[in-house]
Amino acid sequence: MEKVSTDTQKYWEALKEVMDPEFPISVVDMGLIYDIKKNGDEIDITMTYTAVSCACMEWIESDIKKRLLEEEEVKTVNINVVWDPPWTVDRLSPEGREKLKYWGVSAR
Amino acid sequence: MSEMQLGVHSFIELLETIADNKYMLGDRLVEIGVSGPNLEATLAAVAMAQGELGHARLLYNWCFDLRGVKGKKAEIRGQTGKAFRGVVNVHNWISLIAALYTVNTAIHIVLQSTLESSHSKVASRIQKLIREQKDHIIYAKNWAKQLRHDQGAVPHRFRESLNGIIDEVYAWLAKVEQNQKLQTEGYLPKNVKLTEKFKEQLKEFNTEHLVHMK
Repeated sequence: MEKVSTDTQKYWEALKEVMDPEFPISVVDMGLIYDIKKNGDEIDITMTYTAVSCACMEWIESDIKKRLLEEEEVKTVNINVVWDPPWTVDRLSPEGREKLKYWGVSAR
Repeated sequence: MSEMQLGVHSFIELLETIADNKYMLGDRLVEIGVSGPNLEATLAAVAMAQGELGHARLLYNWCFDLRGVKGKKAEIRGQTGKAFRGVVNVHNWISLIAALYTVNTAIHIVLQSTLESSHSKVASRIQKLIREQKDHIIYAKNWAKQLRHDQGAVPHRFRESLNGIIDEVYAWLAKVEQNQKLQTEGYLPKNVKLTEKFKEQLKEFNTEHLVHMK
């Protein structure tokens, strides 16, 4: 995970409650979230997915928006999906790696 | 229509041709792949089908963006009619492998060339797709080698299938390579050598059609 600025820290924490639908690992620990920016009452999320063919994109984006809109000061959430740098297992947090190991999934 | 619009139009057509072929490869990988020669091949084919369909979705959505379509993207219910005949007509494992290998190899050559484009957002769109596609090519190439050295009528049939689709793929690459609008608008590098790279990649299969291509 990149170093986060204090004014977006709470949103990173909030997104730790949004789980990947296929594994009980947050989108943050999966390394899907590349950047969070706050601009007034808008939050801009830059994120990726583990595969171009991810079947859960709309689901995950909807969960992210729903969670961030629970924050009183947030009125709009914009999601920008990028594919560069491509996601690899190196993006998993140590916590995410441990959870995958627990579920018997290789993360090497 | 301005030169720039013509360039975008050509680029959209290029992306749609790739998307259509990936859409059809995904469809064929499911239809034919479920009765693959063994369980591993079948599982891999179905997994790759999801991959190809995902690549198609990404490229169609990119086309929508280039056309200035805002908001939620339309659901894709079929290809736009640009898929190669040799892909649409895939009807067994042998023709599936021939199509998967040649078409994805050609697409890979084109997409790699677009990474040298002067348009900054190209890499952010396709970097992951290119990485995933490499796995599909490795898989198809290894199956191609296996079929080529198989017994009975299989090597002959595989060669026929390969010859059947190579002309079409090669002709498409030649058309793309000669499209000046793509080069002048910076979507492809100047004097790009797509056909040369394709021949080089398929050299080891040394098919009759490839040998005779000028």
